[in-house]
Amino acid sequence: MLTRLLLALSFVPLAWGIHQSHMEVRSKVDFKANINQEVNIAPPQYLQLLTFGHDAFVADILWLQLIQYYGAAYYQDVPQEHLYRYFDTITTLDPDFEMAYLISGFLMADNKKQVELALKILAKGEKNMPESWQIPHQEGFLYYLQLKDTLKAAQAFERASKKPNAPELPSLLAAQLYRRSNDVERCVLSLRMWDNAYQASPTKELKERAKRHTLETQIACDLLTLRKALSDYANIREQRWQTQLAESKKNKQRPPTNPPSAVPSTLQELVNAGLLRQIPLDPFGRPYIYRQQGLKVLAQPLPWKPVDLKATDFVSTPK
Amino acid sequence: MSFLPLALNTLRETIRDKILYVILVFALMMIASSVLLADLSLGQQGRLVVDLGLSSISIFGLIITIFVGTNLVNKEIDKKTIYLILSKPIRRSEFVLGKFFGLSLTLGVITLAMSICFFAVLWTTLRGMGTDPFVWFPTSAMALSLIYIEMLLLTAAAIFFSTFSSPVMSAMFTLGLYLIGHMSYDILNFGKLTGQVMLQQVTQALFFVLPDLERLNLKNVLIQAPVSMDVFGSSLAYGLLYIAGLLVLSMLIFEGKEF
Repeated sequence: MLTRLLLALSFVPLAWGIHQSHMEVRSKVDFKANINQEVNIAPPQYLQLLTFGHDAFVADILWLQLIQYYGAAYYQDVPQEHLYRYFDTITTLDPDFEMAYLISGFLMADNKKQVELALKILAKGEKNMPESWQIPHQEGFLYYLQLKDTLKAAQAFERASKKPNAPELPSLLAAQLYRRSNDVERCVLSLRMWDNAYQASPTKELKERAKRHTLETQIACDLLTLRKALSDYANIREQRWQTQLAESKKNKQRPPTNPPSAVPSTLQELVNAGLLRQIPLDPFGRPYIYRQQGLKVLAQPLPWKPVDLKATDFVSTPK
Repeated sequence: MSFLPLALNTLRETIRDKILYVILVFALMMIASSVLLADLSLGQQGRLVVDLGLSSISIFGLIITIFVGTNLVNKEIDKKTIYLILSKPIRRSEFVLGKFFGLSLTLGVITLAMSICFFAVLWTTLRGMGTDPFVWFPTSAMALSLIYIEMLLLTAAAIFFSTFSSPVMSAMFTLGLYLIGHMSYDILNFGKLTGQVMLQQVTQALFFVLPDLERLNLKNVLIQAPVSMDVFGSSLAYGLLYIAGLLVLSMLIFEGKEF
């Protein structure tokens, strides 16, 4: 009994001693040291060799570490230098870790260099998880919001919209951005997407909204076609003028004095020049407004406040 | 079937081993700890519970197999009880089978206990997340079945090594086999990388001889995409055939062993 009591009592100073030594160690640890200097991850290809079949488990451990690392770097206000390394290692060990791909797009959106690395991770995700719509969707946001690359964003959203179980959103975003790219072919692609959205809209309200988008995109496509024709018209006239000048010089004739006008007086001249088959009418059967001065083609006011079309660029203001 | 009493006796003997309970408690603690870690995982609770749970079951199963499996035969020889057993109408091959099935039953009981704990944690976590708990149950059950087959294969290997070496050596061999078994594809790839025909043939031969334990490892792929029954069935058959091969070899060596 006495031995037991003595043993129990000896535990108290021992525990106190251990606690003191622990506190001593803690006082020597510099908790404010730059977190970036403390991160040390083995290259993923070597780490993969050492997991012995527990790749997903090791990826989870790194995931937990990554969250701690991000938080520590955030609070220390130091750049998160190792984010790419973490994400690359995690997704190499566990190629199906969808959340890691998606979060990389959020956490690495600080600067252009980081964004490019995040896009690398997302591209890896698209390859490893071809069924996921969220990965290209996230890619689209990075291109659009961080790199301001409307075309690549639209392409990423379009890829997302084609994945199984994808909701309507990526398709609508792709349609919106393709239309904004100011290119006739992409505008037509956008029109097709809006038309699909219109066909698939389940409710009357959504159908009406999709219809407005479709009609506005139709107008945008027509205007882009007309503007391209006007630009081509000016180029053709300029080329013809240069040819005339060259021929007169060659034949030693007097050069023509008045260059042909690069601006057509009516849109019909575009048809006559073979640049258009016919002059399009807007979806309500009304002609587009052509202003020779400033070479502008605009749509007539819409029955609603334009949703997609930038009014100053596309729609004439009622006088 | 005269190895059955021996198997039941081995079960009784191993289940009384206190180290087993210590390991089991550790395993259960590891599985349960995933609940605490899950809160730090940024919405990945389910994944963490599954990965940590399956890896814990696999690692602790391996420890039990090595601790218990490598001692099974040598303990009988050291204690001289083997003379008593072999003096009965029981063949040496039946002795090996009895030991193997006895430990298999023990591992079965332990795996079942760990699996119940694992499923309970998974159920609680997924319910807390508002996810249907049954989504991951069938796939996890498939992974657990193959983990059990891997344990049996290592048990057979432990018995095989202990028929001709000391417990320490057979423990090392079994651990080595486990590590190399999970690297067999890498060995094959190393051979290919060298570009030398001779090395390629050697690594290919090693690949065919060594157990490909990655075939029994569905832990990493089950979460996102459940494997087909074909893959599962062929992996199961591969494991069972390898076990049978190791047991036959063990029986052959044990038949010729002199005490």
